[in-house]
Amino acid sequence: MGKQIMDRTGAVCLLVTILVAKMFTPQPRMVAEQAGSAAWLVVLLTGPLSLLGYWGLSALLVRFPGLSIAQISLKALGRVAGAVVGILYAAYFIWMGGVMLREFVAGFRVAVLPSTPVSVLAMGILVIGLYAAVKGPEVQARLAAYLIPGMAVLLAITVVGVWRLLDWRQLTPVFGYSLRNTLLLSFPLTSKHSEILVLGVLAPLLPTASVRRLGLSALLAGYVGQVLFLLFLGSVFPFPAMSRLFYPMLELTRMIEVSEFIQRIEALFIFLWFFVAAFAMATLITTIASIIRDVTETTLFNPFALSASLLMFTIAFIPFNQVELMWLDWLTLRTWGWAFSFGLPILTLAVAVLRGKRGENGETPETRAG
Amino acid sequence: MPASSRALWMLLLFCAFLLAGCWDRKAVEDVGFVTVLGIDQGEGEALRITVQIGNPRVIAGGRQGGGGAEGQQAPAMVHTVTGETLSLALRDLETFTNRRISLVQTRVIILGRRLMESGIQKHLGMLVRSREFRRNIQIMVSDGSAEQVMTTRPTLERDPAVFLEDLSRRAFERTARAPRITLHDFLLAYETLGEEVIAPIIRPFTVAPGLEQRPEQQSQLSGTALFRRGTMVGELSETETETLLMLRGKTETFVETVPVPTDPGLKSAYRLTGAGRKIRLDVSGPQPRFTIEVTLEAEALETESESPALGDPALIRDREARLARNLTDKANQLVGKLQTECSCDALGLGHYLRPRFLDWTSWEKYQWPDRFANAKVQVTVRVIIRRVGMTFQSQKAR
Repeated sequence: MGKQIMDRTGAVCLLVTILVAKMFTPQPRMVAEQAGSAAWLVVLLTGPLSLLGYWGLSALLVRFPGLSIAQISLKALGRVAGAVVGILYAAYFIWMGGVMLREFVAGFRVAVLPSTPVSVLAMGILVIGLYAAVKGPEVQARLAAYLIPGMAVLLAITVVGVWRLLDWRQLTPVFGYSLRNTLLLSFPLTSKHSEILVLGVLAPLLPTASVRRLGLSALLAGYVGQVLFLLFLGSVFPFPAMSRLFYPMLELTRMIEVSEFIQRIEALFIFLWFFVAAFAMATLITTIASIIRDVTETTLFNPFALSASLLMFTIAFIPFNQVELMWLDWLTLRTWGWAFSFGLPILTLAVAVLRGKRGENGETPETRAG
Repeated sequence: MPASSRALWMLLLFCAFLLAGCWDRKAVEDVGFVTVLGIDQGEGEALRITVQIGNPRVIAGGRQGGGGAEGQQAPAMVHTVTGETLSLALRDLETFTNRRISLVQTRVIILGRRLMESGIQKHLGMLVRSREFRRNIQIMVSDGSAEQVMTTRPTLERDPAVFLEDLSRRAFERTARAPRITLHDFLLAYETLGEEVIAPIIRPFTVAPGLEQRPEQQSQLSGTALFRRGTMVGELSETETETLLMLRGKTETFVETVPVPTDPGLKSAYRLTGAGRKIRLDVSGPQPRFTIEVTLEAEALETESESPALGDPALIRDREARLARNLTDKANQLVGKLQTECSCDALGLGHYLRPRFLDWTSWEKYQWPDRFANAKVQVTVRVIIRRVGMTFQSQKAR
């Protein structure tokens, strides 16, 4: 993978896609299970917290212009501690990729292809993901620029198709189980936006002056998208119905009915679902391989990408069943994801400030502008 | 990329298209598509499952006006099996049919009355869990057994599933004599505590002998099954169902008759169309007070009286008031029945009360299903006669 300058719109689309890919997984169900009818409110409340976390990440990227998150770790924390932090980032993304892969393929198996082995589905998604990863983030960004409008159109069709089922009263009681539970949940669920850490890998490919704004645009778009999606989902499947559906998005598309003319069109969404899954895998493989490349200070990418895919494939089959998978996802990614995506960058920033470490030329876009 | 590699890739791609058909192959002729599923209470704890398996060749042939050998065959086969659970019974079906039973095309589920009177909770499991059931399947409760209803053959429609689906739509849209309830509606009402489950009732119905001089057994959708906490506790008649749908704000159209003021022996008929419903809630007292305001638009269909003419605006106002009074009386009677006889919030008033609660725990503790009987419900119906048909005046007696 050579050094490329990414298209800004494509970069935002890439980040938004990886942020909202979760809506095709059982994650809306998990949030509804924990937050009750306040699922949308919990995600709404994660906004300010994730902005705070994003401030740390973006400040770090701006302080070390032209460097990736792993390179920054090495520079700010020293070779050993920096490598440990870099490996933690990579491990987090490998785990995330494995869990997401299994969630995607388990959904396909239950809902679409009941007699296809999950390993075949996982391999199919990973092969496409690996191919796109090898092609590089620039290609992925261009692809994302097509994927996002496609997702928007299909979501619009879904909204129209199930409009008759929407009822805002289904979103009540507004605080779900309790106000305390809603507020407490909003902190760990900041992890819902943890994929924004991918920006740390894309940063060297983007114009330094626009990194902060691009990341913020993607974070806000992903955040608004997720809140609106949960509002929409909760208006059709009120609690406790949503907490009992493994794949609410799929159920929603199965209910699209516009008189007798438009029915049973979920096949369209299956394609989108598959491509979003493969795309998410491509982005995660790219992220992992880039981090390991930067930590090891080599120029190799493809061998790391292949290894990352194999590791994700292996992790995907650790849970014995769907229930264990959900449990692991909640216990790890949703509860502690924020620590990796926002906690580690803030910690690195703090150490860099204390040690007076800065980017190579000692200046940031702000100081240059000033 | 060298030309040889490109050719190899193209070949692989081509193979993928050809081989895709072999994977998970399910030929249509190997599958028995269940179009209507009936669930009855069997002996003891067992279930009696009746399935109607469509014969696509006959159904398609019939629609295209084809005849021949297919014309002699039944458009659907009806089988009944007994099993401890729904999935066991469906599995047993495959021991005497050479086709793989599939529920992906199921359009209607008919639930036997006796089964519903013993509670629906334990039978909902498979309906929700199985990927083959869609949430927009129509749900009906049979007066008697589902098997009895499913053995009747429609006269004007070859496919019994299409017949039942169309019947459900027409009964709801054109007559308001039966609600139209999907599995999604059924499950939501069961789970959210904002309303009680309701379902249309389908009954065997004997059509008077026609030209062929033989009475025919048909199915008729009329009335509503009422549930309380998932158990069927009563039913509403056709006219009560009209009123129920009006109060739920689901009325498309129905016909209402009122006595002619000058001669109570004669009647006037109006077609009413739902034009809006508002529910106001007052929670200042010890019990919630609901005010349901319904607006209907009317069109005069017929009047048996010869005079006076409907051309007089004052007379129109009078008829509107009479219609409104008539419907308000019916609505009050229905609310009384729902509150006193079965304590069943079939009106969905709980959905209007729930937003007043801040958290789910307090809403659950409130126990709305138990409190519905004591809630104050006031109904106001407003009727606006918009059209009087092609003439103002009836024919004069000669």
